[in-house]
Amino acid sequence: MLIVGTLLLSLNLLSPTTSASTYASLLEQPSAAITPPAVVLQEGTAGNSTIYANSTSAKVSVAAPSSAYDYVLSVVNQATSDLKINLRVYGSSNIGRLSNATISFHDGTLSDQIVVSDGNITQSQGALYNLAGNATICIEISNLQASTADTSYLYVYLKVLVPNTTTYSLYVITFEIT
Amino acid sequence: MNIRNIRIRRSAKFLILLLSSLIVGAANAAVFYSLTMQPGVSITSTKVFFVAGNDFQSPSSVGSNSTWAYLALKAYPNVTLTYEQPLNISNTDTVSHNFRLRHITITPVNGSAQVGNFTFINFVVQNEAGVAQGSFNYTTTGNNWITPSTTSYMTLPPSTAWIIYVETRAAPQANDITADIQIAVDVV
Repeated sequence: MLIVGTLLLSLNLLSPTTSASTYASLLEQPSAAITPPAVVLQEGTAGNSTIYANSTSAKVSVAAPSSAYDYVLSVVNQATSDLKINLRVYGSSNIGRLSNATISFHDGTLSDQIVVSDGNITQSQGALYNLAGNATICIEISNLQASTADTSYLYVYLKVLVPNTTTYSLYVITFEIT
Repeated sequence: MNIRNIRIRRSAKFLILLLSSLIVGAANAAVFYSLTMQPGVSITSTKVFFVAGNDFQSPSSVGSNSTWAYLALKAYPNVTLTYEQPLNISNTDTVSHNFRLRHITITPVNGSAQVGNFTFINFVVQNEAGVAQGSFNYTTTGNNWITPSTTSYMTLPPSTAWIIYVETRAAPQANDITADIQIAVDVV
């Protein structure tokens, strides 16, 4: 009994030492406000385009061969401040049949963003393009050629970046090429 | 009964009363001795604190002593918005410190139809190389939040700043509302 009692007492004395911890708490207070996005997608006049909820994703359908679908989609900056945008491939299917395809921003001059050549994606993303406040840029598909009759898909992010930051949103655009 | 007897009996009563009061007094007394504890509380600045990052945007603010930070974020419907570096947590000490993230409160509260406007608000702790060390993700199911569990303690090396990376997303057709969160960063 004495031994057990001594052991229990020892454990009791030890427990505050082993379980105690001293810590300070910093406080982080994030506030997330749902707002309409500064950039929206709009239908073009060439090919077939579908705009989904909140105009933040889209599907574009075009058929090869074609020298140019010069206006399949437009990207509209509804804010007064400039933004940076580019396109980047994040997935694809059955593109081996595509001899050529080029997806560009088109504002009178072309900014090539994605290039497919001989069944390979030879350029998977483009340079950042400055989309001025309240401005619109068109997306064009040119030099479109396929070796077989089938359907290919390019899954692309439109990245919208706030200048001089690393704050960005990614819009999903699916290109369906028959 | 003569007068003498009466005096004796009164004296006896008085004696009994006196003895009783002495006994009560003795019973109430406590024998004790005192140890002396001398805490010395010195005010020092914390070695682990918040620092604004590259994506720290107005009206975000870091309070005095950098132990409190308000982070103004946006969430867009049907699109993921990423803040790669809105806030850093810095250790200026010469030794490592452990820290964890712990949920305190969030509004709108569970049961409110407004909760379902959000898809997720995800906080990821990254080291200086951008490698994720822990995730603290608020998601929703119906009108309720699924609040994150307290993270494990992460070890912040001396003279190092880590990143709190944030991703937000609102549901398609979401209404314009705001979620306010309180997160404790426990530092050991």
